[in-house]
Amino acid sequence: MWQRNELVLTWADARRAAGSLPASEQPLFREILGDESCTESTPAVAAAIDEQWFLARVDVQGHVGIGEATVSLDLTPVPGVTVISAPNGTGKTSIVHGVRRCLGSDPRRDEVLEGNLHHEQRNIAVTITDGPRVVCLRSSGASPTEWHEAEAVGMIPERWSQAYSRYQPVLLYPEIAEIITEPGNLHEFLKGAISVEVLQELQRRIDAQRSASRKATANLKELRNAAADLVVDDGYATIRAALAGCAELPTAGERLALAEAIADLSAQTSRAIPEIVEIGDVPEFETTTSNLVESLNEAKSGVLEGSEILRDILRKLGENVDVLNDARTADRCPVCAAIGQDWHKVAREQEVILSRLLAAYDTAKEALDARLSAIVGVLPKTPEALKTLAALVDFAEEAKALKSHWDLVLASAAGVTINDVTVASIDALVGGINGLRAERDALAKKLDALRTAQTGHGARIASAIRAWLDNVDAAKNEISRREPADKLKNWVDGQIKQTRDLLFQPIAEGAKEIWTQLNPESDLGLTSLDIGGGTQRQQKILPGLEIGGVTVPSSAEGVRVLSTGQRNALSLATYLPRSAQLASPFRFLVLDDPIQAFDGSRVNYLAVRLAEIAKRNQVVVFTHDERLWNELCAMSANARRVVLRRRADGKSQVEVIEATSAGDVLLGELSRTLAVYESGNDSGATEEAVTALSLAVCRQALDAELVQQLGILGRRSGKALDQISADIDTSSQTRDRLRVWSTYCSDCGLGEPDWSAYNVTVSALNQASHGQTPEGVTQDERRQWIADSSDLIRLVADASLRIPT
Amino acid sequence: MSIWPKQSVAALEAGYDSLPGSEQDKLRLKAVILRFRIEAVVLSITIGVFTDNTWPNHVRHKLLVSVGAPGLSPDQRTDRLRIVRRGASTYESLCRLLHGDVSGLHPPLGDLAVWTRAVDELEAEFARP
Repeated sequence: MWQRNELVLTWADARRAAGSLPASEQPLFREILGDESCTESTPAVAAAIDEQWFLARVDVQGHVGIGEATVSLDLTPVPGVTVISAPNGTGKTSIVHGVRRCLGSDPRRDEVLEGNLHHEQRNIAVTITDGPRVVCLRSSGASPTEWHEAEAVGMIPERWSQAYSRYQPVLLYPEIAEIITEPGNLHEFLKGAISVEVLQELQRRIDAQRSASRKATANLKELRNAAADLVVDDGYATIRAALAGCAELPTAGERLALAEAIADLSAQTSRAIPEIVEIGDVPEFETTTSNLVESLNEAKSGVLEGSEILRDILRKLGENVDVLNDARTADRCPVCAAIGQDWHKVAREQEVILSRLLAAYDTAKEALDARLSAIVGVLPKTPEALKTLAALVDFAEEAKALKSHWDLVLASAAGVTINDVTVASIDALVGGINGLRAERDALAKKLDALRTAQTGHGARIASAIRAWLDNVDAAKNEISRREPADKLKNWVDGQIKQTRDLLFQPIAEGAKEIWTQLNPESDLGLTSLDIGGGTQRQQKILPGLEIGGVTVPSSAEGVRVLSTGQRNALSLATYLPRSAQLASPFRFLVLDDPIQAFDGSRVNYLAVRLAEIAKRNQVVVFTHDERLWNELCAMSANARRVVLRRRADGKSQVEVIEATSAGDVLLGELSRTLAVYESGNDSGATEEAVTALSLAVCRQALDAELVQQLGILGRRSGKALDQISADIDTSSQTRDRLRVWSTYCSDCGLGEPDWSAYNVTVSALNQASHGQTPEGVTQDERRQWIADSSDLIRLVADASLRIPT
Repeated sequence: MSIWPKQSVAALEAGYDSLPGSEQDKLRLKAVILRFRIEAVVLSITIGVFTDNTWPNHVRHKLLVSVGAPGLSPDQRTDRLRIVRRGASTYESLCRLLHGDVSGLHPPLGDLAVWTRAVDELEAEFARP
């Protein structure tokens, strides 16, 4: 037998069992457990074990086969067997069903019978007691059962329902018949007995935790990969480096590096694509460049002409020295032969002309030079600008062509000098510059787009990394629980298996024992009763059956080899050890027709078993078959008998008759009838006739008691049933039966009872049974006969009580 | 102990009627009355075989022997045989019930109806002139 402290059935049990867990798993377990075991003021099973409930009374009205008149059964709330006998159709199953509906209904089963009501108002009341407490469970109509205790009314306590589901103290006949017909039924029938709801709830919570951990890991991984997937080019070297080797759950250092990389992301982006240098617009001039060139050329021509004049003068001066002497002497110009002042005047005039020509030349040259400078000046020529152009090649192919063209334009600009400038060369330069500018602008636009794209992508990278890192804190806790959650799962799975085994083992052992007890002569063996399936999968309970050493398949076809009686016996064998467990708070079992299809021997074996159970429990058996009662009587079991009788007078009414002693029942009825009769007889009937009828009933009572007692004594003295039946049949007269009874008493070691004092009584009863009574018999005399009959019946009935059990 | 005088069926039926309760309440008494009535029929049979027919014993045999009573046509004998066999069977059932041999404390109403018809038929048969 298992120990209580090995089972994990309550939250408190779970907390206690978790004490063996490693310290690393304790915090998570406590968190998963929450305050369950703290709020559990009365742990279900533990509390239930302390309670010991017996049935005190059952009242059923309008439920299925029970009509308007309430059927009330007063039950003795102590251990023992109460056999409630009733013919088929009296309402036995209806009463048992009502009891079960009230104590712990299974709605699915109720649905089958719900529409079959004989009376529109259904009221079921089951009174239970554990000694000091008396509770009435009431179910009216379709309402849930109420728990009435003292003045308080409430719902059925959860612990009661849990315990009911586990021990199921009420068994309906339809269930007995169904349990073994399909292999799956057995598990369905027993699953409440082996349920481990608390552990399964823990399993669910732990699985939820594991799932959350897995999800958190997967989520982080997804976020991390999404960020990493965005880092596709070389512009994010820092981010790439920070991400490298970084798992979905980064370390503190990795997180810091990533945070810094994000902060630096915009700066990285701006350096990545250098700003391209500007190329200014070639200015618009008031004077066209061609005019300037023409002006220069004209000025240049004038200067050339002056230069030629001056050369001619100088040549003339050099060619004729005499002229110089003459000129000096005659004060005449050696060149133009002008005299005196005139010569000087001419020279001055020539100088002026030459100066003007030179000035015009200088002016034209300066203007054109300024124009050239203005044109070329729009092109930056600094080393940095050129270096930037070179760097841009990394980002756009166009930068390479731009740089080449740039160089060409610069070279072209250098080649345009004032000395050989032409309109065409200047136009070519301007054209080159404008082309370069267009190229530059196009490249700048492209770079801007690239920069913009690069900036947006960076933001996305940053956002993705932030989303990842923001989830790390939340997920870190979940992920860190994965390992302990996995270990807890293994632990809970182990607890489920162990607890189920501990719960199932005594049932399986008990079933095998009872099966053996119910089938001593059969070669059909119950070799095993195993529970299959994992801790989460659908469970199976498979009976291992053998017929003469040949295994019976565990299938619907397999169990068909069993007779109906064997199937019913197997059902009871699995039911009784479940419901009669010591841990059950229900000290009662209610069985509906458990001996259906049983032969006499099996009824005897079941009676023996029930009598054993009844030493501790209150066993209430509804049956249409008197054999169980006879067997219980035969073994002097602590048994009581109640008879139900349906009154076929047009109304659906069931009468309840206390019938432990058959003789007492009939005498009781007679006494009640005569009491009414004698209190107001004005019918004109004779006392002789009434006495004859009364004593005829007395003899019936005596004979009925004798038959019952002969069954008891005969079985106790080891006689076969056939022998007892034969003895009863051959002793058709009351006096003969009394002699057989005396012999049976002797056979039981009780000696031969002296009933000679009742010889006269027996004769009187016998004559009255044939309508013969003394003339002028009085009521007092009749009462005396009845009293004597009662004494004789008591003598007969009490003999079996003296047999040692 | 002296033999007490026998009450008439009518007196016994009056006694039955005077006792309180419905037919449902008095099923067993009804069975007693039916047995009284069969015994009364048996005691009324006057056949030489039974020299002392003052006690209702050997009911089955007396009923069967009555089939051979003089003055009956073959068809009447056949009818009587059928009726007395049913009456004898009913008597045995009533005896088993009233001696406590039958499980159940009260006779089924349906059985009582069948038995009543059998007794009525038996009485009618022997009431014929």
